[in-house]
Amino acid sequence: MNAYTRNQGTEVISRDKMQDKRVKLAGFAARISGMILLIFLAIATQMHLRVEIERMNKRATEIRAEISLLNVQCTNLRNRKEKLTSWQNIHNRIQHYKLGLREAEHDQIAYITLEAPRAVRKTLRPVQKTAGRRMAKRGRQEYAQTSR
Amino acid sequence: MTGYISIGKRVKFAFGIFCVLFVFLAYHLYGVQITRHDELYAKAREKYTIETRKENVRGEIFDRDGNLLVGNSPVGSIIADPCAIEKGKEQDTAAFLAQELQLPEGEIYQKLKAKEFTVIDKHGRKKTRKKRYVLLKKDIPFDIFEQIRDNIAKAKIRGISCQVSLKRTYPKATMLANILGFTTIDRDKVTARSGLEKSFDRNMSSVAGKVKYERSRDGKPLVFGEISRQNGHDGYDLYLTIREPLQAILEEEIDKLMAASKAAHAYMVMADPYTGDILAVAQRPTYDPNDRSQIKSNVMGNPIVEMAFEPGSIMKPFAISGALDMGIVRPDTIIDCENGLWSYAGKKLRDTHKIGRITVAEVIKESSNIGTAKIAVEIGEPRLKNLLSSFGFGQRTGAPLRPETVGQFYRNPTKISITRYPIGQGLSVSPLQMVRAYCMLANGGYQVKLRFVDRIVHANGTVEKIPVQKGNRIFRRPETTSEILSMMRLVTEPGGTGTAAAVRGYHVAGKTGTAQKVVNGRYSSKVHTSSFVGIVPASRPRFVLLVTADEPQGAQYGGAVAGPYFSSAAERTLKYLRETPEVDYETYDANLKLAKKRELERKVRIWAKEREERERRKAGLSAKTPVPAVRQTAKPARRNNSYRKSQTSVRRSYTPRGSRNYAANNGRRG
Repeated sequence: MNAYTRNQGTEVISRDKMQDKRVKLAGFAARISGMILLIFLAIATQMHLRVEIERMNKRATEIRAEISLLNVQCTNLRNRKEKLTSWQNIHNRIQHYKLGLREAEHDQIAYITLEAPRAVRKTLRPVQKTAGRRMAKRGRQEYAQTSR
Repeated sequence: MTGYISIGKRVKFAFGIFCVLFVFLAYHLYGVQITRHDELYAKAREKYTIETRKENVRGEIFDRDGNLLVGNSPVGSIIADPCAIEKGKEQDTAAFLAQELQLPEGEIYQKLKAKEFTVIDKHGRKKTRKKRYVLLKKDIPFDIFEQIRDNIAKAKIRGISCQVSLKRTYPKATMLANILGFTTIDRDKVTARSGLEKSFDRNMSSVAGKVKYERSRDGKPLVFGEISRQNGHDGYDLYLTIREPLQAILEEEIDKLMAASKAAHAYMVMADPYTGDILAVAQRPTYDPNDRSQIKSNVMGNPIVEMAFEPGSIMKPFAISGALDMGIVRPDTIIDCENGLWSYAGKKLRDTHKIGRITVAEVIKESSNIGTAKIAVEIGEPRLKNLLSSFGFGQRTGAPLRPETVGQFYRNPTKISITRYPIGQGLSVSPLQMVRAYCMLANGGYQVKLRFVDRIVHANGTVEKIPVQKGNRIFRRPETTSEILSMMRLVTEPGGTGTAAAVRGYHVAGKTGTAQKVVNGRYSSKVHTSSFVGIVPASRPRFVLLVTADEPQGAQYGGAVAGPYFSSAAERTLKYLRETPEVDYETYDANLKLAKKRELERKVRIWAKEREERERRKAGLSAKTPVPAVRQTAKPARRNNSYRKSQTSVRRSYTPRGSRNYAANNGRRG
């Protein structure tokens, strides 16, 4: 009886404990796995970001080098333009090609000024009836501006 | 029991060892952190900190409209690292580079082969070092350099690098060279040598940026390793008041002047009389700053500020304008020019030709020394000195060019100085001082400060405008300017000394000047300075132009030497400035024809009178009794006819001494 009772009791107790342990272990394992996963994810993200940063830095350096090269080329072209447009150079060309150019007399020159085309439309925008006095005033101002 | 005892011993033993190690560690840490801190810290700093230097760009110089005058041009250099070139490939590399760089193959091969060099350290020991840097070719034009770089990259040659650097360039070559100056490289440092480059060196020099940071073993900067940062900046850009098209005109005209006159020096200065802006300056001899191998020291200066010269007759309008302003004379006041010879304080003063009694306007037109001297005597010594000082003589112009002369003004005045200074003798001025003085005549008598620099543009884009300074007014009477300009207009009209300087369609108010130069302490009759200064158009002045030829060969008179080139330069400038003619060409030509006819008639009258005089002498008849030289002092400013009548009566009442031998003014002289 005692033995049965003891055995019975022991059996019951050990089963519960095992169950409890398994659950705890599973929970612990899950938490650890989660943490490891998080750490892994964090590290992976960090690595990815670093790679990305590195790649972008490299690209930025390349673009900077390209810009600097373009600047140098621009400077070179500007200097060439300045040399070519200097009067000395033009004069030499005129002499070399024996161009029969002479300066114009004053009355032979006429100056014309071309005004830049305006993007603003010149027609009066119809004023809405419901707009009231404020809109009407705005319309007048707009007309005054466009027809200036 | 035994086991417990042995464990306790082991623990104690281990504890003891740890204690000893800890003490050793503490001692060592003390040594490292405290005793040798400075030494080790310095070593670590030296090893792991690095300073990078970013060179910035020197400022550039532009004309007023933004045309480049001095810039930085990219050039390439080819550099070799002999240690990086594989053994046995030196010959091939040398052959390739020789073809690309147009250099002898043997020379390159020798450079590439030498992979080590010997140095002597501070203890006098010889050490061999690896050669990692050999400059093969420098200053390659960028267009060619780009091709070479591409070819080297395609050939995949190791140990050859291409470097781009900036070189100072002067795209307009000789244009404005003396004013702009140039820079040289002295121990890797840009040094300004002359001109504006030198004057504005501090502003135009760039400041190099410096970054000091800690680096990792592979040389990369640590993320938070920056120790210090000093931001640099580019040099400031200068925008001059010079206008390139006008400068080109003057450069061309001065070349023609030099070719025709074969002068030792020549200069042309053009300025805006109202703002004092120097619009163009041409000087000869000059040089090409891009090719300095041929430069001689005597061509590098700026005669317009450094050289003082005796101005001669171009000085005359100042004393006369002062006399007009003070009310001492009027344009039609008669001055007796003593028939070309006058004594003052025991010294003789001569005119270049015989002149009798003429008006003040004709004194300017005929460029009479005696007439001007007499007017100056009337002004008086102290007032004359003040007058000339107010025109800026004896004072620096403030031009940003060094050294600048103040000239010689009232250094050692004598009794006759009052008669010599107004005619431009005994004093010396710089060409810029003269231009400034003429600007004052042209702008209504306001003192003006000459400007070379219009604005400075900082590296961050901020524009610093150099202000125009308007000075005090010299003339008290508002009519003085118009009167003196009207008188000066006669100089370029028929009968004047500077007819060659006339510009079709415009009235030119100008003055010729022919100054004898002092050679061995005496005025030479062979060596001259010939000048012409003009204000164009006379009615609404746009610019003042001074043309001077120093020691011209052949013709010597200012009107003949400088006049034609003044005329040509002024005409072209007026066209460029779109200045509409004051008189239409038909009217101008008709007026000119009429004036020439009148002048011829006047000469015919004079010749007839002279002939009559000669015949009378031959016949033994006495000449008219000469009248003592009487200067007609100015009448009170009356504008009605009664003044003219009184003048006429004055003319009738005296028989002019000069009229007896009134010389024909065949040669118009300044």
